[in-house]
Amino acid sequence: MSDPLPKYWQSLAERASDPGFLTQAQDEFAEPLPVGVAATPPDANSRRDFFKLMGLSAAAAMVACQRAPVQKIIPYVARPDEVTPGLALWYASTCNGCSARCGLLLKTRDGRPIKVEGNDEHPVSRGGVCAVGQASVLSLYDASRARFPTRDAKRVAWAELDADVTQALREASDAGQGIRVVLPWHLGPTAEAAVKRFLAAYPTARTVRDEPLGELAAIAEAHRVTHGVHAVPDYRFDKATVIASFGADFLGTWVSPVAFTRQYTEARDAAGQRKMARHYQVEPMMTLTGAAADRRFVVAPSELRLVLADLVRRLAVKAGRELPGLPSAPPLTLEESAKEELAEALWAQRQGALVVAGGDDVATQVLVNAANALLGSEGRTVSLADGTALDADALSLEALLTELRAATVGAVLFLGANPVYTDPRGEELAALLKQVPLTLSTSDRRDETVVHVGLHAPEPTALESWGDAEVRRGVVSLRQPAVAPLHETRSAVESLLQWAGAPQPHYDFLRARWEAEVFPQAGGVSFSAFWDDALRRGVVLLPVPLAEAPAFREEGLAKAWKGAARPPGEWELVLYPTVAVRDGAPANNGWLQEVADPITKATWGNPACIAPARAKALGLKDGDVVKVRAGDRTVSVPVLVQAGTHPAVIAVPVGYGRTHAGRVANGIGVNAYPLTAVREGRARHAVPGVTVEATGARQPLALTQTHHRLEGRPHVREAELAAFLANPRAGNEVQAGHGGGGHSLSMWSGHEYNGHRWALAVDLSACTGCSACVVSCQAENNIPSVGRDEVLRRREMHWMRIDRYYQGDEANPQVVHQPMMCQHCENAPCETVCPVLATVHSSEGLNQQVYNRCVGTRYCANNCPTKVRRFNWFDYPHDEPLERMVLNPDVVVRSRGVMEKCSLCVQRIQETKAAANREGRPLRDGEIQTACQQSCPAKAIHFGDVNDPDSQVARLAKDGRAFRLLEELNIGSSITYLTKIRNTGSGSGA
Amino acid sequence: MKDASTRIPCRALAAGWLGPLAALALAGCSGPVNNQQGYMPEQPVAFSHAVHAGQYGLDCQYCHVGAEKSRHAGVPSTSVCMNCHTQVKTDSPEIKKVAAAVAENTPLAWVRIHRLPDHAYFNHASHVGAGLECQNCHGPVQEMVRVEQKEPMTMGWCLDCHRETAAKQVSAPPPSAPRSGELLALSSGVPAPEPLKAPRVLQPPTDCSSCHR
Repeated sequence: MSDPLPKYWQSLAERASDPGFLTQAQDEFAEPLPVGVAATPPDANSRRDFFKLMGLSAAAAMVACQRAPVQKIIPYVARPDEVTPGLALWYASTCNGCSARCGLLLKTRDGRPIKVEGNDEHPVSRGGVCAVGQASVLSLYDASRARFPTRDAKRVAWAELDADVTQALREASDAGQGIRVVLPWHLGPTAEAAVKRFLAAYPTARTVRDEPLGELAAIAEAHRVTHGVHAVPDYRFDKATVIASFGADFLGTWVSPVAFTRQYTEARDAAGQRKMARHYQVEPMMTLTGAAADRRFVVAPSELRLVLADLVRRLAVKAGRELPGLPSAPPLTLEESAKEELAEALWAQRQGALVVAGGDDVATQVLVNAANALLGSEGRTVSLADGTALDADALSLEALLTELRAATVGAVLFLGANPVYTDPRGEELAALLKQVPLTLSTSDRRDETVVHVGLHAPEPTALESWGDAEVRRGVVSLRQPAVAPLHETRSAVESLLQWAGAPQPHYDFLRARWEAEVFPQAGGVSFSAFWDDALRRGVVLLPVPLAEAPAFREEGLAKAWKGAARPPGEWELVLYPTVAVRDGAPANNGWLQEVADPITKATWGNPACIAPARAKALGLKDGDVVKVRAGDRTVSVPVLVQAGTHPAVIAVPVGYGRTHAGRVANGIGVNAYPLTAVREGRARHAVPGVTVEATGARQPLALTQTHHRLEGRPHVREAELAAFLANPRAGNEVQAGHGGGGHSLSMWSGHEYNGHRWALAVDLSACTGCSACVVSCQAENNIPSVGRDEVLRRREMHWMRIDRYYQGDEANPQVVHQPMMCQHCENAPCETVCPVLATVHSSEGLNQQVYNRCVGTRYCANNCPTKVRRFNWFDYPHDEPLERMVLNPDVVVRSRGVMEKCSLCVQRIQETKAAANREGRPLRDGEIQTACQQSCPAKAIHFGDVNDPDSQVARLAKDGRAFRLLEELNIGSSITYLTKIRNTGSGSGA
Repeated sequence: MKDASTRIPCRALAAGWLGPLAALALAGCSGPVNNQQGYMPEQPVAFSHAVHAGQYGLDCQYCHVGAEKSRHAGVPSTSVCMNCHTQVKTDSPEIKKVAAAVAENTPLAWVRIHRLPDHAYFNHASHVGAGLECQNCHGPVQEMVRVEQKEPMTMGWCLDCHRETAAKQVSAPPPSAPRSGELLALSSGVPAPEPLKAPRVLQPPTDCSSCHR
């Protein structure tokens, strides 16, 4: 206790006590009143408009003396049996946001999908959904989607398009010209069957698999080399006792982040298991996964493979194995002690170890396979037998380009791929497409590739279409539509079947395939009963016979050593996907643009991360625009000084700078894909030898972490595993001047809670900062996106945010994420200053915000110590009728001039209470789930009634790790946080 | 704001007449805002609750199916009318309107009478489940030839009832009270749902967030 408090900092500017930052952070609101100043959206306010409004409201007041305007009730002509107006209908489905294919529940009200939640019954994703999955419901109503098929950008009937396509395909086939179908790796078993049927109908047809970041491709290719199968294994972080990740952001974007997050949390449940897996992360830049790691080593991208090769060498020595072509240890920046520590830690656990690597480098993945084989973890923490086979006969994009150059291709069909945007060879591809007789895309919008093709056969979104997926051997899930297609679209499966000359609705094809192939495996008497149950649950578990995976072969390894050493250039560029926008496919989505990146806290843009030391040396500050040159390509991008970045690295997110995504994403950020290198025919996203020069220009960054400042108060607490095991209150002792100790005297008389008292418990140990909760909250509570300019004015509206704290060395700091929402204080500072009683305490412990009483003094926001109140500076636009469909009818849409904040999802509380009352039973613990809690992949958030001593929140509130914010101020927060436990092995020798 | 100076006369003019107008508007107003007590608009079809609910004693929930399970009681879909009226009074000009609506698949647009502001969330199911009669809020509908809003339906009126009910310690209906779920179960031969446990004492909430969220 004599130790001084650990010094936490939220940003480098705060750490350095930058005077500009301090001035800016001093005021609650960023600038004076906006009336007449903000000419930017949502509306330009002139004094004239003000008088017009005055006149209108005076007139409206007179009308109100008579009668409210007449409203009509328009019932169904014939009500569908399952629809009762006012009641939600849920459909089990499967996400299509990335290749992870998590299980979903789609909530529909009166026929329109309004919310995406996780399906608890799905054995892989287990109730979690990421930000992208959450936001897919907004993409459904995206007004920029294509609404009908086109030929040369002009509307055309489906029959006409089909006739064109069929004729062109036949001509190409007869002439012996190639037909190429460009598509992503995973479409699901049924869609793949449709692709096969198409290929069978046209002998010259072949698939080209396009994956913008090439991660799955590298893993599958490496397994072809080392195991003879082209597949991605099933990773089991929950079975791991030590994890080493080489640049794989497996909690953020890599392969299946939602499933991995839950597994990771289980492997590191120190409170429950009294032990936790140690996590080593070796990476060139700070990722979400690196932020969670116990031990993090910062290594340049070109050295990652060398460090890994060195690890394999050390493991081989420990195993007493001779590996072919084993090189001697190359000189590296990483200290000897770190390398030995890593090898020692992995070897100590052997079969419990799990080594993974990110990126698109096949040789790196080969080395990963060698490491796992040496450790004996194959079949345990990484299982090829339970993995997913990828199309082994597919051509690469380079092969397609070669064919196009030779003019041997008669047709190119793009199925959900947008390589003109995502590939560095996109420009050439676009030019070569011009001479192909048939070019077609099924993209859901007129994207960068569609503008270069002749025919556009748009697909509906995943929420409007059928499909299936097999994410792990024996785990087969169904995707079902929650709404009929909004536009004149047709699923790609149906299109392929049509063009293959076997037209069939997608549903019939899917059902028939399940009857023929899935049902016999599952067993049972009636297929229709099986089908109905599969639809209801969304997922089917098939019995899995024991399968022997092919063994590791050393032959491929010799090649992986070769060419490993590359002289690092002055700068090395890393192109990476962000947690929200990923490869850029879901970019046209206001929720995803506005959710702050968990690490950089950037919104609406993709600043380039550089190391603090490098920035200091070059005199670069946040927002200084630099020119990044890779070969003959140049991109100008503002920099962000990011702690934990390797000094040689400039890291730029991809997925931004779209030109044809739609009105939200177009022109936001810069497109970094053109900087991608092409080596041996593969797009490579780690580019050595780039140059970076300052331009002198500046572009302000819309960052959120410097907003809502908490004045350096210690809001997070943490402890080392060994200390925690010895003392459950470790790190959580009452600190002098900070924290509990009880208050013998209080100015407040307190509240009496005779029934429920609602509360949250948030486990900082489990939270990874992935921000799925932020988007879930936004969807549930009709929270507007405000746009870049308004974020710059510190006016983002999110009811919850993830605060990011750093501690220690800015070259490689430790990170703590803390979800921050209204604390529903017992003695709430906001309540005492509201002059109109618009914020008052409820009999169940909620701090209620009454919008229709609020007059917008903003005193409450000023007085709020956790800065969670948000003021509506505008009536945020819901001008697009289609996009309005996403609003939750159970929550009011707030108007200009009122304050709002987290309500602990009071609509869910009321609804569940009413249901329990109707059924004449008490509420069950865990029955009410807040939106943030439901989608949390780590299950870090718990909601319940602390007045019920058996409830989980009540237990957690009394836990040794429990602490509340600002206990010294006696605000009486209802939110319990649980101390973060680390397993760094420092201190008392864990 | 580039030409602000040129706008001054215009503004002065506007302010000149807006003031008195606003005053007039305020002076003309009496009684609570949005109180539509007595509102009795004409409907697209001259449907009489007095005949259906009064004379023939049809259960309210035969048509208003959402009342005991949803927030909204709901207005019946047009096809519900035709359950009887394919046989009954098929020559009536009013029924012909309904038949035409069904034939053309165009819904009838009824005029809404009982209406709370958008920021108030009322739940029919909770109130019906607590044993409230429809008439408590909607008045003697079974006597109305054309429906009228009888009660003020203001927040104060809601709260009066909530406070009074809480003070009197009223119980929810006893477990034996017939509910449509049981009736349905009896008629279709499936096991009846579990009867309600001991009667619970109603605790109508008076928290703001019970209705405003």
